Order: sequence, then C-alpha cells, then structure tokens
Amino acid sequence: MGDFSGLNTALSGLLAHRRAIDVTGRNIANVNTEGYSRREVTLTSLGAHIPASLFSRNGTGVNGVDVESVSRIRDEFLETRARTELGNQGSTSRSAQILGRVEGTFPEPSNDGIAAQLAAFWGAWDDAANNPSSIPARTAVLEQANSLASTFHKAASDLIDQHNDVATQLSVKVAEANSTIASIAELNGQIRVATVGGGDPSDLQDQRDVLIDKLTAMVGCAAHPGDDNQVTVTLGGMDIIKADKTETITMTQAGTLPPPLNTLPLNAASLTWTRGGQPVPSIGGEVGALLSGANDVIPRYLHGLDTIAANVVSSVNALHLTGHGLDTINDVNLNFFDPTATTAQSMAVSTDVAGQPSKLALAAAAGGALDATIGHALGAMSASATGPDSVYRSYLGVMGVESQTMQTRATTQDTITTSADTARKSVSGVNLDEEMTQLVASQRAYQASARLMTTIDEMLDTLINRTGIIGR
Amino acid sequence: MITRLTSSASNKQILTDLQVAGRNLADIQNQLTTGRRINKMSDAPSDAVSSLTQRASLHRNDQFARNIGEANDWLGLQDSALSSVNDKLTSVRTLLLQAQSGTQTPSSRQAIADQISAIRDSLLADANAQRLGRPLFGGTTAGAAAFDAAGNYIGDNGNVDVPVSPNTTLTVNHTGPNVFGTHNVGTPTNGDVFQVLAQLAISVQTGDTSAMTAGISQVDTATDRVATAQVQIGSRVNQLDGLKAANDNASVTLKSAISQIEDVDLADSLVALKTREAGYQAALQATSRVVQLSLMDFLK
Repeated sequence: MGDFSGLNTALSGLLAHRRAIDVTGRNIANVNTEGYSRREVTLTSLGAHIPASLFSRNGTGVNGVDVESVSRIRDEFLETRARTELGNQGSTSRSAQILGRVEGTFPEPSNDGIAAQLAAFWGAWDDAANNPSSIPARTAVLEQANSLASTFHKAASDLIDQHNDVATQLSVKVAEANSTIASIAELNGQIRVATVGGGDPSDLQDQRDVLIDKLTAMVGCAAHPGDDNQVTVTLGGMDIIKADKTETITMTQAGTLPPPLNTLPLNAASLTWTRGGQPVPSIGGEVGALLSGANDVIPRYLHGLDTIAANVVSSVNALHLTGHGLDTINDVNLNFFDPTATTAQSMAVSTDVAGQPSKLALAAAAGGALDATIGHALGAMSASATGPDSVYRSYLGVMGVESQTMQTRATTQDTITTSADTARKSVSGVNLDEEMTQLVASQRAYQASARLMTTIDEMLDTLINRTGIIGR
Repeated sequence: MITRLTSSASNKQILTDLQVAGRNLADIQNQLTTGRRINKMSDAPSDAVSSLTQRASLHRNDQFARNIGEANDWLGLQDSALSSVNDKLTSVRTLLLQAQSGTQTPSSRQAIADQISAIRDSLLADANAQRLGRPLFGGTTAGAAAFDAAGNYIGDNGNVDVPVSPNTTLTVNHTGPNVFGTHNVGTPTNGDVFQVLAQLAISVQTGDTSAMTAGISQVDTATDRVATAQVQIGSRVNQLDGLKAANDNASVTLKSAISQIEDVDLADSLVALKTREAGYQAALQATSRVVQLSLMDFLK
C-alpha cells in the first residue's frame, strides 16, 4: 500500500458523495414530475476482499468507495396492480358519465317530464268527456297529444345525439390510443438502444411508463416487463406492443345492432385490428365503456322509450277505433295516433283526427253523439297497470338503479385506484424529508472525505517537510 | 400499510380527500337550495318511482275533483229545473180543484184552461233547460232541445256518466221520459205531462168534471215522478259531498306523501350541512398545516 493511496481513498469519497448529492438534487427537482421514479445511489466499497492464499498480499493499493449504480426505484407488482385499477377506473367513470347523461334526458320526478305530460294528456280526455260538445275542450286533447309527442321526439333525438357523441368520442379515443401505442413502441426501441449501448435509459423508461398508464386507462391493457428493459403490452390476448412492433385498432361504425335493437336508426360501432381485421376482444378502459355506451346502453334506453311510445299509440288507438265522433254516422273507425308511427321519434296524431276536433271519438258505439264513455275510458288509462304510465315508471326505475349502481361503482373504484396509486407512489415517489436527510448525510460524508484528504496531506507534510531535518 | 409517504402520493391523497369532502358539501348544498332530496332518478330509484306513482295518482285525483264539480253542476241545474216543474204542477192541481167547483162559469173555466195551457208551455221550457248549450233532460243527444214545440221527446236514452272516484261512475242525468212521463199516442190522458196538461185544458174548457178528477191523479203521478227524480238527485249530491271530502283528503295525503319522498327534511339537512362544513374546514386546515411541514424548516 503506497503512501499516497489514502489520498485516492479520500478522492473516491469526494467523487462518490458528490455524485450522491447530484442524484438527490435530481430527485428534489423532480418531486412533482408526473411518472418520475426516484433514483437511488448504491455505493460500494473498493478494496475487495482478499482471499487467503499463498501469494496474497495485503492491499491492492485501491481503497475507498465507488458508485456501483444509480437505480430507478419501482415495485413492478404495485405498478401492475395500479394499472389494472386505472383501466377499471377509466371504464367505470366513463360508464357512469354516459348513464348520467341518459338519465339527464328524463328530468323526473318533475312537473314537465313525460310523466307529467302523460297525466295532462289523460286529463284532457276527461275534460273533453265532461263537455263532449265543446270544440275547445276537444282541441285541448289534440294540443296535449302534440305536446306529448314532441316531448317524446325531444327525448328520442337527445338519445340519438348522445349516441353520436359517444361514437365520436370513441373514434377520438381510438385514435389517441393508436398514437399512444406508436409512441410506446418508439420509446421501447430507444430504450433498447440505450440499454444495449450501456447508457442510462431511466428517463425514457419513466416517459414510457406514463404512456402505458394512459393507454391502460384508455383500453385496459396489461404490460409485461421483458429483457433489455423492454415492455410487452397485451390486449385481449394479442401483443399490441412487442419491442418496437405495434398492432393498432380500427373503428368502424356501419354495423347493425343485435336484435331487438336492430330496428333503431343507429349504427353499431365495432373495433377491429387494423392488420387482419379480426374484432378486438374484451377491450376495457374508457374505449370499452364508450363502445358499450354506443352499442348497448344508449340503444337499449332508446328502444325502451320506443316501447313506451308504441304503448301510448296502441292503447289510445285500441279504444279510439271503437268510438264515434260528433258525427256518429261518419266519424267511425278513426285512429287517434298514426298507427304506422310507433317510435318515440316518429309518433304523431293521425291524419284521421289532426286539426278536426269534432272527430275525436269520445262516444261509445251504443251511445248518442254526446256520449262520453270512450273519453272517460281514455281518461282512466292513467291508472292502467299495463298502460304507458306504468311502463314508463318501470323504465325510469331500471334506469335509476343502473345509473346509481354505476355511480357507486365509480366512487368505489376511485377510492381503490387512489389507494393503489398511493401504494405505488409510496415506493417510486420522492419524499422530500428523505432527500433532505440524504442530502445532509452526503454533505457530511463529503466534508469528512475532504477532512481525510487534509489529514493525509498534513501527515505527508510532516513526513516530507519536517522529518529528518536535523542534518540540514 | 404504507410506511413510506411520498409527496406526490400524499398530495394526491389529500386532493382526493378534499374533493370528496367538497363534493359532499356541494351535494347537501344542492339539496338545500332546491329543497328537494330527489333531483334525478338515481338519487333514490325506488323512492323516485314511488313518487312518480303518487304524482300520477294525484293528477288522477285532481281530475276526479274536476269531474265531481261537473257532476255537481249537472245535478244542481236539474234540481232547480225540477223544483220549478214541481211548483207549476202544484199550481195546476190548485187550478183543477177550482175548475171542479160548481160556481164556475164557462168564461172563468176558459180562463183557467188558458192558464193551464200557459203552464204547459213554461213546463216545456223547463224541460228544455240547457247546460252549456246541451239539454239537461235530452240524454246524449247532440240537438239543442229535449222536447220539440209539440211536446214530443227528441232526445235519446243515453246516460251522462261521470267517473268521480277510482271505483265510482255516477249517472248524473235524467232523460225526459224518466222525469216527464212517456208519450202515449193512443190515450193522451195517460201520456206524458205535456199530453196530460193539454187534455186537461180541453176538459176544463168543456167542464168535464170526471176527466178533471182523473186528471188530478195524473198530475199527482207526474208530481211523484218529479219528486222521485229530485230525491235521487239529492242522494247523489250527498254521495258527491262524501266523495268530495274523500277526494280532498286523498289530495292532502298524496301531496304530503310526495313531499315526504321528494323534499328535504330541513332540520336533518341543516345538521348534515353543518357537520360536513365543519368536516371540510377541518380537512382544509389539517391540509394547510401538514403540507407546510418539512424537514427543511428544522435544518440549518
């Protein structure tokens, strides 16, 4: 061991702790950077252990400390779990949003929803029946019918708008997912180059992990780490990203919905692999929620609304056809609603009676012109157990429960996601107290190394300048 | 168990917790400002459905209240017309008793006969009494009169039925023949009240005492018919009064049921508001303290 080796030891300490302070500074600087994983310096002692052997000598002349590695601290298990929850959260919150909008189309219970319109419509029949000869009372029935029909039209066109909105959002999200897939694959390539070339890919890895989080929230995919810091991302059993190779998704909106929704004026959206054209199975996340919104939730509620409209048309017509208008001879066999227009979007007062209040069939066949049996029977429709009111109420009940359930799920999922996210960030995130402690420790170590150097310097000074000066 | 708390994780947790506290506060605030506990179906689906059912029942009940008004109107108008008919028949009876007395001269009998004819005409006017342009005693006819000028019934036998409660439909009209007797072509003395009076005027004119005596019993029969109708009207008005009271009751019950389901309990909500407000403030304060804390404050 040479006399000057102590200086080298002190120097290695100065360099290593300087490096540690740099890393701490970097951690502090990135305390609020999204996706940043804290770095940790691993120091290792130089001056390797000397095995006992015949020619072993004491000391290799190399002592001190070295920075073995600067590593990125992450717990892959927690990352995977947090990502799964991100995908679930994307799906539930988007589904809750879609259902909330569907529900918003029906402002119930209130004084101006379809329920109130129906009640006013039946009431108008009773009022007209109380004064069958009154043209104004009969006109009021027609006006209420028009108002009821336009409320149905409004609700139906709202739902159709929502369907179109959701389909647009879906295509935007798919495009975003595709570009994210491309970016991740590109980063994968760069990371490979950096890793193989012995560089430090950790910043690129951070960037890639942020993008994978985003992609997971969008489509609910799974990421698997591989060799050379590569990540393979799979969706529905297909590798959408493998090294720098990608598989992208194509959205088309031209298919027909499954029965009984196929009669609706809506196109089904479908997602296929761009290469090969096979359908994408079990897609999750926001895209999955939007897909089910466009193909299931909204069409289902539009179909339900159509059923109610058809019920109104058929139950009113069934009674109305048996009645007589004021002209008991000629005003017979009249439809009140157009029997061919049985959807919420199309329902309308039939041309048999539109604008001709005297033709409203309030009178029963056996009665005189001012008989009001049919009118009162239509008024009593509001209490019918199978009538439109009752069907509408069950429809709203189902909608309310589904929306409430989804909201509860979304709230619960938020909590779960936050806790999973906190768990992974508790490993990978920066804690300022810890960094400060680290800073103090490194600073002290640096000072001590400097002190060591001074000490050795002084020792050498003693040896060189003050030793053996008697003979001078 | 998380042993290592990092700034980003704790920031996120704090933010989430604050948002939840803020959202809870906003929810209760929304309830208090709208005064409604249920603003959309998903707030409480089963309650909302039951509220919708009650609302439909309330609408139906309001309709029954209007129908009861209509029915009362019908019955009231008929009752006053029939009272007038009753008075007139009584005076006919008095006139007939006068005409039977031996002191009558042909000219005084003529005067009585003229009076009876005049009463017959005014009875015809009563029998054609209208409600909103519709003859009260004409059944369901679309015509303007129940009897023509000759006293022939030109209405029909239709009933005016008004639904007045979920299980009750009340017939509120009496047809002409029902109140004024059936037209009898063969023996006009045994026909409707107009035929009887026309025949009596002739009998008085000719001084046919036996026909007059028979006529008095015919007039009594006619009066009985009217009285019977009036009694029926009275009992239906009674029934309607009962139904009206029940209807008012149902209205109050339904309204309070709807209010109980839909409206906020003010005391409850205010307490909840205060609690959540305090919770939110505490969360904010705790955050402001905790977020400031750092080792840097203690290192020199």
